[in-house]
Amino acid sequence: MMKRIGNLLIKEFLQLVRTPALLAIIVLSPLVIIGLVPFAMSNKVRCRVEVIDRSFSDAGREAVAGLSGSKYIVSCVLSESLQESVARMDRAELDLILIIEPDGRQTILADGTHNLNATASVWHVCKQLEKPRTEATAGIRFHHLFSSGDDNTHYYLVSMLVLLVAIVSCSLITVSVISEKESKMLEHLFSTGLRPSVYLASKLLFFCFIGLLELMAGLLLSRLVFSLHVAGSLLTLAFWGVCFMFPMLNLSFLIAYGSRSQVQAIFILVFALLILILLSTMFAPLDHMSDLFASTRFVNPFFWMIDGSWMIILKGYAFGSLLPHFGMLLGMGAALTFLNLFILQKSN
Amino acid sequence: MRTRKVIRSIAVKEFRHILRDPVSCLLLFLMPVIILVIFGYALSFELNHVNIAVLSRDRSVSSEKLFLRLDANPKIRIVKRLYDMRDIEEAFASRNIRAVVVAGEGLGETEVFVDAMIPMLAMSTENLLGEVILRNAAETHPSPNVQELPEPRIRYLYNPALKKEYMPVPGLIMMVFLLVYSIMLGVSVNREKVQGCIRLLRLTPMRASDLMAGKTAPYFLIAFFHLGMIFLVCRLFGIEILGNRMLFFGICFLFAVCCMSLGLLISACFDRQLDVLILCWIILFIPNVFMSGFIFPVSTMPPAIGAVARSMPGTAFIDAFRDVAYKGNSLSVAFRPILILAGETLGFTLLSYVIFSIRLR
Repeated sequence: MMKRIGNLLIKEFLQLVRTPALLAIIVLSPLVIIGLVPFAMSNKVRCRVEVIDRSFSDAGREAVAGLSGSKYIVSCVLSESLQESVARMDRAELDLILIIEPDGRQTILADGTHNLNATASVWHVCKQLEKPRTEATAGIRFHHLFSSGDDNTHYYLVSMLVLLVAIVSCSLITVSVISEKESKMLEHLFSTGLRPSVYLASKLLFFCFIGLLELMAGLLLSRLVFSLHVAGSLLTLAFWGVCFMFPMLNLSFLIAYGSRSQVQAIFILVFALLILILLSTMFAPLDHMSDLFASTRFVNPFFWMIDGSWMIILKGYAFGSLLPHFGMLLGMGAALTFLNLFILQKSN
Repeated sequence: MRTRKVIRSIAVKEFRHILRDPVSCLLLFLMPVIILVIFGYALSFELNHVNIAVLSRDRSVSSEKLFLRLDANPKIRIVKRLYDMRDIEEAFASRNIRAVVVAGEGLGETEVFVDAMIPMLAMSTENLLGEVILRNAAETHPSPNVQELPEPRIRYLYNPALKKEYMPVPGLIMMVFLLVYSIMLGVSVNREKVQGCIRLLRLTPMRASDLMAGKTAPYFLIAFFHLGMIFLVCRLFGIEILGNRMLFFGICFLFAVCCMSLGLLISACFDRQLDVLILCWIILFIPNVFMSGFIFPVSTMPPAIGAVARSMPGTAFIDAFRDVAYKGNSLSVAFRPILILAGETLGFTLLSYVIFSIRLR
């Protein structure tokens, strides 16, 4: 059996190196997903503020001086007219207007078209305005653990690593299986007495290796470009990658085997990945989702992989802390493997 | 007259191809609805609930009161009770715990350990917990020294209730349009090359412009279906289109045409379906999703990346959508992103026409 798996692995390798488009996926994906996109993934607020001081008191000047000192506020100027400031906000030249009334009351007008930017800008401006009071009276000591920097880049970089591994390994296995199905090579293979389990195992093994290569390439790029250091063990992370690819490669295999053409398979795969990615915690943390949508995590390998990767890369946890995650990924992988074997055996 | 007949024949053939394939029909008509409705609801950027652990250093009544007050808040869930300071770090590994509140005798002894891995979430958690703890302290230990300053009044323009659906909707529409009009159309045109139809068509008096018009005609009709869907989704989410509706739908239509021209250009340049698909996903879809200001504002990006992002059709569409639908701006104010979209549409169409003409010759 090992000899057969070995031969199948060689076949996979030859098929891969003979197709330039597939090699392009392997080389281009890390460059775009890790080398370029994360530069744009920042929640570091760069707020543009105008202050309308109707009190003509020191408070207005103090507010401008205080806000100008914040690293989150790129420009803070006094404005004469509210109408002009709102017109500038209409043209997206301004994020926030602070009005100081004659009695000292403050009103903040924020551009609410981008909720995240609006709430973060308001939070930073309020914090800056309340600084003296907060320091004097709050008395609560906040400790920030596992901080990944205030611009979120490292936090999102981990998600992008997962995305890279998933996109490359899933699309490659899908293209490989559907091509063999379209060219009737699959029928020839099974006519040689090849067992479906051996065929499936060879596919999973080979593309799991490719996924691991991508993970390592992505990590190297992350380290070189964004100085991302893995707080935990690299071996645990590699094992974690294998655990994630077990259900994901099986899912891609299922999609490819059930599709009629390459284009159909790729579209279904992309649609499935899109749903899994958007429902994972890549964009919105679990704490922001309603209970109904949060419960979809139990059947979403992306959620467990991303959560586990954060724990290993950013928090430095060992494998012992990831046992529930491991159980979920293993369960999903096993269920999909049985389904694939059942379908393969039934159709052959 | 002859040209119109040729275009109509190609369009009818393309329509039949779409309708014959159930997966294509699902992707064109059902997938956009699923993406817009489900993710419009699912993608939320405001705190729904936060799981915390608590630890009482002195095991006093005042600590228990604080914990009761925290638990009474609908957004806070106490999911674990700790008994030793050494358990704090390990607590963050389980049950999605985002903060540990350590209570002591007075306010000054309250410590909050926040998981700052997600700065956005840490900010909301800190705000929420700080507010509850301060209110509890003010009631249990009223201090005459506390300086009461009026809280600033906060108003959000263009989205007064800060509805969570406002943020993802334009981005989701952009994703759907890229998927349908760029990728599906690109692959469909490329299929003609793969199956050798282009060689046969070369023998006929058909011109490159006829092929392009015939291939895109069914997608123009599908665009009207999608415009209706956008209108219904906006109604469903309570998004009021403040600007001119004709201008709003014009922008959506222009973006659909821009995506079609991109799909045509990519299919004109490459001969294999796999190449088209890969290029569409890696070069077109991923950068547009992550760099268009859908989630991450363009203003927070480094200048060079911001310049690239601003030149992308996805960014121009989202800017124009927000300008017209949310801010109610007129064409004179929102002209910049519309101009970018129109220019890119024209450029991509001309380029694909040139390439198709050369290849069909």
